[in-house]
Amino acid sequence: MGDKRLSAEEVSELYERHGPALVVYACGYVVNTACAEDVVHGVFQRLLAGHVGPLEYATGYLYRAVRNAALNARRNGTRDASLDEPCFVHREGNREAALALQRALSELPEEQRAVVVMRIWDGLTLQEAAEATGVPLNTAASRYRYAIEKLRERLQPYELKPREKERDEER
Amino acid sequence: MKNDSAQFEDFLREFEPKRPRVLKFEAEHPMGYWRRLLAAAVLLIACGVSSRLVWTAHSNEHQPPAHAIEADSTPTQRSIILWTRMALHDPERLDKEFSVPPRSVLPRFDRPHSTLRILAKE
Repeated sequence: MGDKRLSAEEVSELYERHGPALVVYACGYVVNTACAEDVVHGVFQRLLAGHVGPLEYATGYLYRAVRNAALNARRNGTRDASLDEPCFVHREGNREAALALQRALSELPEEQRAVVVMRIWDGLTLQEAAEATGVPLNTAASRYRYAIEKLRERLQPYELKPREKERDEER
Repeated sequence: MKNDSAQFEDFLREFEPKRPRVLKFEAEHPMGYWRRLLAAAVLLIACGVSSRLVWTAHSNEHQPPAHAIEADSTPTQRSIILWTRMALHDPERLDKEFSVPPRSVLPRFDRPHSTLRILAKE
């Protein structure tokens, strides 16, 4: 990223690439999807307005900034309503599963949630996730493993259904 | 186990994050800074001028006009009550006041023994 301020095009690219995953990440703090969007917007607006100094590593900065802004929003109690609209869309339209996933994510410890969101929905490698969170690769890997185990426990009922369906189709 | 993990990751990827609403990227006008600076300077000057005008007007209000001071200094402009009081309590001063000619009134030169008339003749 270098030692320079980001141009509007670069900020736009970052928003396109990381925006959706950052909203998911923010949802772990503020519950409400609209509020999570506001948080992410705020971070990008600040970035665009040039109120942020030179960025060493953009992804790491974005996750830290979203976390701080989300914590502030939660502290201020802005639109912290109940979980009504999931921040995910299931491919087959399973809204219940989407809500369950969001709930399960928000119950993860924040360092585990960060790694799993980066890996699954932001498409980062574990090495990149480790760099973004500022921890060694082994730490990031173990956090990821724990997070996946917990999510699997919570989402087992929703995961089994499609598998059973596949088996039925095979028969 | 590893296969199971990959399968579960695929299951998680079936959930796509909603695309957040479009962020408005309004690039700042290159002259924006100078425009703001100019506007601030104009505003500052306008405020300075107006406050100066107000201050001047305010200070003028408290100062009596020059003609009023002159009018006060002439004995003929004083009120009749003042003259009456002076006549009762300090008649000597009243005589003095009458003997001093007012500055705004020119000395008469149409009288037969007026100094100006004599000087004019000479």
